[in-house]
Amino acid sequence: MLNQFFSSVQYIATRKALDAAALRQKTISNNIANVDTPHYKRSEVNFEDAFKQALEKNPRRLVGFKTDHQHFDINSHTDINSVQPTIWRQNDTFSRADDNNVDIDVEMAELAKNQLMFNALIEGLNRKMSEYKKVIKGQG
Amino acid sequence: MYTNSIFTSIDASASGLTAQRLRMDLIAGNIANVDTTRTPEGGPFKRQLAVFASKTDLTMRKFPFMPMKIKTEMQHPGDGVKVLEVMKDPSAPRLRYEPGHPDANNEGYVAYPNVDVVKEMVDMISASRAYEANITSINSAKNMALKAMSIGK
Repeated sequence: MLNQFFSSVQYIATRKALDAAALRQKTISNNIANVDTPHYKRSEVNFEDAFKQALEKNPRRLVGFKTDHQHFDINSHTDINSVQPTIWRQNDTFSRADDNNVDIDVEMAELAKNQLMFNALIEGLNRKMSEYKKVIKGQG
Repeated sequence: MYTNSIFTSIDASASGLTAQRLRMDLIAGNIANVDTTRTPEGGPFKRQLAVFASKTDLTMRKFPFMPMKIKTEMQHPGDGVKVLEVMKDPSAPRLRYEPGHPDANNEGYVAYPNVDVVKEMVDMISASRAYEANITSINSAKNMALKAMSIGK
């Protein structure tokens, strides 16, 4: 039963999303720390889109059919375990004369969002775990 | 993945605190010395400013021959900010006509520091706001770490 839980999509998704939230926290912290650094360009973490794509059972995309093991992958299905968060640096926006594109208001909003997301994930995980706890303890 | 844990994000914010505090100290020194006409190295006081740089070199330097990508994938989010150097503002000193002053030149002009108090005050607000933003970021990371301790409770 517990193995079933630890290999469930919900558990893996929560674990990976928590990792992504920790990485995002670091990225936002770095953006805020560099708010006055000339030429600094902000970065952001992309995880949810890639994970959603991996979760889709029937992707509405053109998928390449392989007839040989040497063929390239074309939108082939990725395993949810192998999805990793990626960090992107945004180079195309200019908001200040010193070539820095950190908008402190955006970063603070992202920070609040990330914290809420992190708390929500843990809350969800705890709820699921307390269900199992009830089963183990035999409480109704 | 310890290098990107919540604790290292506190380190990144702490580097921001250090940098902004140093900037604040320099501003305080600049304002205090707004009328200082004598220094150990001779001449009037020179306005000091901190030069910030990203700790891991993620800064984009623009090269005219390089096509600019809109987004670049990176391996590492960066470790905050560092102060490269404290440099002296090379702009010319303010000259004021005060013939009776002991530091006046032959024409009667005294070279005062190139410190503009209004500019310093604006910089001070900017530094203190940035400091507060880093504090908020640390508190947020701290709350996340605390919340993570409640997993499975």
